[in-house]
Order: sequence, then C-alpha cells, then structure tokens
Amino acid sequence: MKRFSAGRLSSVFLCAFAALMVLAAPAHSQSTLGQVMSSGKLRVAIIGGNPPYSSLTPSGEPEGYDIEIAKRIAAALNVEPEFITVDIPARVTVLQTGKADITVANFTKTVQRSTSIAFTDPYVVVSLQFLVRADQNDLQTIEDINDRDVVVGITRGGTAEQNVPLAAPDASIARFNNETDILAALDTGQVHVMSQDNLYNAELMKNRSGQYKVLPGLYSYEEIAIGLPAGDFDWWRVLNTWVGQFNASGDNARLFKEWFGYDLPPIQAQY
Amino acid sequence: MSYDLNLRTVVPYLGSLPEAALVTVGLSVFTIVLSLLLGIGGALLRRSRAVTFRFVGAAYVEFMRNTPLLVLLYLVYFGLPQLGLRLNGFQAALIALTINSGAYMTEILRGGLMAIPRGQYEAAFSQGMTGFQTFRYIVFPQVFRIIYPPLGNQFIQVVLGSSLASVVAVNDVASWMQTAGSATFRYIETFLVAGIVYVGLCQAINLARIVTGRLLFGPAHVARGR
Amino acid sequence: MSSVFADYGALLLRAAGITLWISWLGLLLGGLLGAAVGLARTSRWRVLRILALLYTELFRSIPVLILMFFCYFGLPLLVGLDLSPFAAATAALMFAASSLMAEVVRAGIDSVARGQWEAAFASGMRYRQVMRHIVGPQAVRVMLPPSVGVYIATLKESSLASIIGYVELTKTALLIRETTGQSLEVLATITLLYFVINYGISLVGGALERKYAIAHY
Repeated sequence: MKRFSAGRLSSVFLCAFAALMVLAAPAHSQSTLGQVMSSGKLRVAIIGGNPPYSSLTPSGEPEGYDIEIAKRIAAALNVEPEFITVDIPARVTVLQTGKADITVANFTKTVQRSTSIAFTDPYVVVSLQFLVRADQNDLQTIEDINDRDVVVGITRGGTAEQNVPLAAPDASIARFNNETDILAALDTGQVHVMSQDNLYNAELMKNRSGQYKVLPGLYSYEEIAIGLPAGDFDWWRVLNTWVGQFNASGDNARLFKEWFGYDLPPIQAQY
Repeated sequence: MSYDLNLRTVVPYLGSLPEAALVTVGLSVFTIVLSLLLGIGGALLRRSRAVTFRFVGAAYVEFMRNTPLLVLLYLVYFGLPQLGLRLNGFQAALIALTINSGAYMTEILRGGLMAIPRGQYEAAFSQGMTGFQTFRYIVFPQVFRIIYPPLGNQFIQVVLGSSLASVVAVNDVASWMQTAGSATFRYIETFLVAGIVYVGLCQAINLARIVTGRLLFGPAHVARGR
Repeated sequence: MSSVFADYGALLLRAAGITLWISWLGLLLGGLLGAAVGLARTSRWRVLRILALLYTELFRSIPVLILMFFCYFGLPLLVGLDLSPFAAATAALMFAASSLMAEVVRAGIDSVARGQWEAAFASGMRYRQVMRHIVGPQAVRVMLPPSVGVYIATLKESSLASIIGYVELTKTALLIRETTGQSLEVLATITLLYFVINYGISLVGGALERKYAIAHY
C-alpha cells in the first residue's frame, strides 16, 4: 500500500536522515595504538597506480616501496597489514574518518595539512623540477621559464602552487586535475613546461625516454612522511621511533635502491 | 559526525576569489552574446526554405542537445591541436560553451519567431512597410517578450556550464574551489563559499530578469518560464 | 576513428553500459527524492512548499561539477563514510536529478484538473486515497515523457564523473588517449556514441509522448 502523503514521505526521509547521522558518528574512545594492538591489524591507506611507490599487480595485490614500508611497520608491531586503496584527496579523509590507521602514499608533510592530520618525520625528500619537451630548445634554464608567455602546468592544490611562483615569479600557471592532462597539454604545446617532483620525472624519463628533458635545478624541499590521525600522541611516538630507526640503520637506503634503482637522496636538509 | 566547521581556514584563499568570479562572469557574458548571434543564424537556418539548410540547422541542434559539454570541451582543447589549432583554456572553453549554447539559443529564437502568425507579415506588407520596419515594429517586440524568460534561464545554464572551464586550466570559481580545497583539505568550507557564489550569481540573474521584465513589459510578465 | 573502434570497441561499449547504469541509478534515486520534494511543493502546508521551493532553487543554481566534488571530498567528512567515486558520482547525479524530477512531479500533479480533487473530496475520499486512485495514475502518465528528458540530461552529466576518477565512458576515452597518444579519434568516437545513445532515447521519449497524449479538460 503506497503512501503518497507529502507530510508522511517528508517525515520518513527526515527520520532516515537523522538515523544515518547518528549511526555514522564514529566512536573515538580508544587510541589508535590500542586499537591496532588489540585487533591485530594495521589498516594502511595506499595509492594504487603510482609506481614505484605503490602499484597493484594484475591479481590485485599491492606492491611497491610504500607497501614494503607498511609491511615492515606491521611486522615491528607484530600485527598483520591490511591495505586500503585510496586516491589523492582520500589520503587525508581516510585518516580523519578513522577508516585507516596510517597512510603511506607519497604524502608530502606540510604545515597546512598538519592542521587536519599528523605526520611522522620524513622517509624521503623530493624536490620540484621543471620538465619540457625534448624538442624545445628555447627553454634551457630557469631564467627562460621566468617569462609571462611561458605556461607552466601544475596539478591543483599541491606544493607546486607555492613553489613554482617562488622559482619563476613571472611565469603563467595553468592548473590541471591530474598529471596525464598536463602531459597531454605539454605534448600539444598548450603548456610549455610541466612541474613535478624529481622522482615522478625520473619515472617519466625512464618510461618515455627521449621525449622530454628535465631542466637543471631543484626548486623546493618536500618531505614525504607517513600520515596518521591527529591528536594521537602515543601512535605518533611509536611510528616516529620506527621511522627514525628505519632511516638511521640504512634499511631505507637499501629499500629505496631496490625499488627506484638509484640512491636515496639525502633526507636531512643542509642548514 | 566530528567535523568542526571553521571558515577561517578558507580566508587566506579568499583573495583570489573575486578574480575567479570575474572570470566566470566574463566567460558567461561573452558566451551569451556570441551564442545569441549563433542562435540567430541557427534559427534562420531552420526557418529557411531550402531543405538542406533546415537539415543542417536541425542536425546542429540535435547534436548539441545529445552530447555532453565536457566531451565537446575536451575535443576543442585536446583534439583540435591535432588538426593544427592550438587554443588556450579560456578560448577553448568559450568556443565549446558558445557552440553548445548556440543550439539552445536557436530553439529559443525559433520558438519566438514561430509564434508570430503569417498574417501579421502579410498585413504589414500590405500597409507598405519594409522588411526592416516590419521587423522593428511588429516582429521584434513580440518575439522579445516571448523569448525573455527562456533567455534568462539560458544565461543561468551558461553560468553553470562555465564551471567546466576549470578542467582546462581556467581560473574560475570552480577552479578556485578545487585549488583551495585540495590545499587545505577543507572541502566543506570551500564548497560553501563556491556554492554561495554560484547560487548568488544565478539568483541575481533570475532577479534581474524578473525586475527588468516588469519594467519593460509590465506586471503581467512575471511568468517564471523555467 | 574506425581504428579506435576496432581496437577498443568492446571496452567503449562496456563503458557506455556503465554510463547508462550509473545514470539510471541517479535517475531512480533522484526520482524518489524528487517525488518527495515534488509532493512537498504541492502540499497543504506552506512551510513544506517553501522548503521544497528552496531545495529546487538551490540545486538548480549549483553546477553539477561542484556537486560531484562536494559528494566525493566533502560528504565523507560529514557522514563519516568513505565514498568511492561510484558512490559519490551517483549521489551527485541523484541530487541533480531530484531537483529536475521535483519539477516534473509537481507539474504532473498540477496537470490533473482541480475539479477532480474537489469531486473526490466531495465523495468522501481522503488525500491518500485520491492520490493513489485518481490523481496518481493520471499524473504519472504526464510525468513519463519529461522523465525521459531528465534521463538524457543525467546521461550527459554522468560524463563529469570522469573528473573524480570514476571510470565511465568519458574516463575510458581519456585512458585510451593515454595509451594511443591521440586525442581526436577517441574523443570523436565517444561523441558519436553519446549522440547515438541519447538521440535514441529521445526518440523513445517522443514515442511515449505520442502514446500517452491525453486530452485536457
């Protein structure tokens, strides 16, 4: 028997909505550390499709540098890792909603982001570089780029937003949603320069050698670190201890060389 | 639901918002003007006596009504360079929006023109009026009255469609929201701000349409027409 | 263009199916939500009518692209649930369709002559009975053709789901572009696909309109 009364339907919707609100409220009573230890599982958020940081094998198994790091942390805590694939924006929200315990996903540690979530000390440091098509002979140095007629393509809301204007204040900036769109625009000449971190560029040069060239110079200092929910000091303490020893023991350098093929860039900034 | 709304996080980014809003408005205004011209051409095509012209006009309208604006935009921005025509984001967005909106303008104008009975043209000619005089004194005032509400609605549709320009590197309001959002991760706040801008723009257009409609045509003409 | 279709035809057709499916979901859910709002628009209580009006005005003044971003990035923060691109896109399409469907439902209900309500009430029927037996069936018949229009609009808007990473027809074309390096052919191919699908559906809608043409008193 269908009930079409407007009042009824509206109140049903309101009740359902209210119920959803109540049920969806996450329970934050236990610290993450306690939760991980008692459940025996470490929920790790990763980004698929970003080799060699992380990618998915044809059978759906995650593998990569970030994956290995997560597996080592789980082993150190004597728990099992459980991988959740997310993409760029969800790297943060998955920690805020309590769906993951850590995020290991090529995650740059910034002050801005630190207002919503927490970071450990860095395990990799990357820098901004500029990339042009191999046949563009008029753009050889940063001074050539620093020109109003030169268009630099960047991905939105990343660290490039601040760093590109610092390096080349006169250049024009074009914002895209992902790297493939920038590459497509670079190929057709609508964008003259692409700006990404040096590790991304190294991968690109490896896969598409001869098509592009990287301009000399590193134009930012960005720390890649592990993300965790904010306000949980115990959890941060444990993870940070692990990261410190991972770096100091040379384990990081070995793992990096294994996955990237070249030496780990220095992690400590030269003051 | 432990989310603390804090609009202050968005404040550092508000500085670039007026410029973004200007881009949105500018893109929309240019599109409306150009697509109106295109629409006049389209309407004339569809009312032509030659079958081929009528077919071309109808095909144009049906094509634009049944294909997504985003795909058209991608075609113009990423596809045309293959044919030798490289456009920047704003130009590509303007062209795609204009071509798309032109089809809807065609239909609006055609509807207006169809409403004028043949007899009025004949009466005008029999009185010795020239084509131009007929248009200026008989046809235009009536057509304008009829197309006025849907024209206002089309303006709103263009403003909404302009948000797609953010995908091809145009710094409009949608782009502002995506940039500020991904920098601060404060998606709710940035959405609220961007939403207010768009709702404000659209409702302002609506209001302007109703007010000027009343001024031009008298109170009987406040039909919603949406 | 033929080479793109030869190599990727099956993939594109499957992606077209995904597009049709997610748009159908959006229309269905949006239709339910829109029906509630549409009923509220014709309700006896002024408050409900105003709230419903605000709802439709709001969602017709916000670009669907913004809605998509909100559903994908913002909604998870509000409800504490992580939304996949599929869920977020469906939610956005649902909200967009609901505002259009609210208008369709309202117009459908209004199309039934007032005299029928009065006669029914005079015969002692209650609101619920009138809706179910008298006004409802007639209204639904009027609502069918414009609903087809809403479906076509939703199909076009589904292309925006590609921007938040959902793999439907447009995103599939972009992925193909990454492999082939050529944009024009694949984009032209999906343009044609969209046209064929939508135009076909609009013809069905036209047929529906003729079949259900009813005389108005």
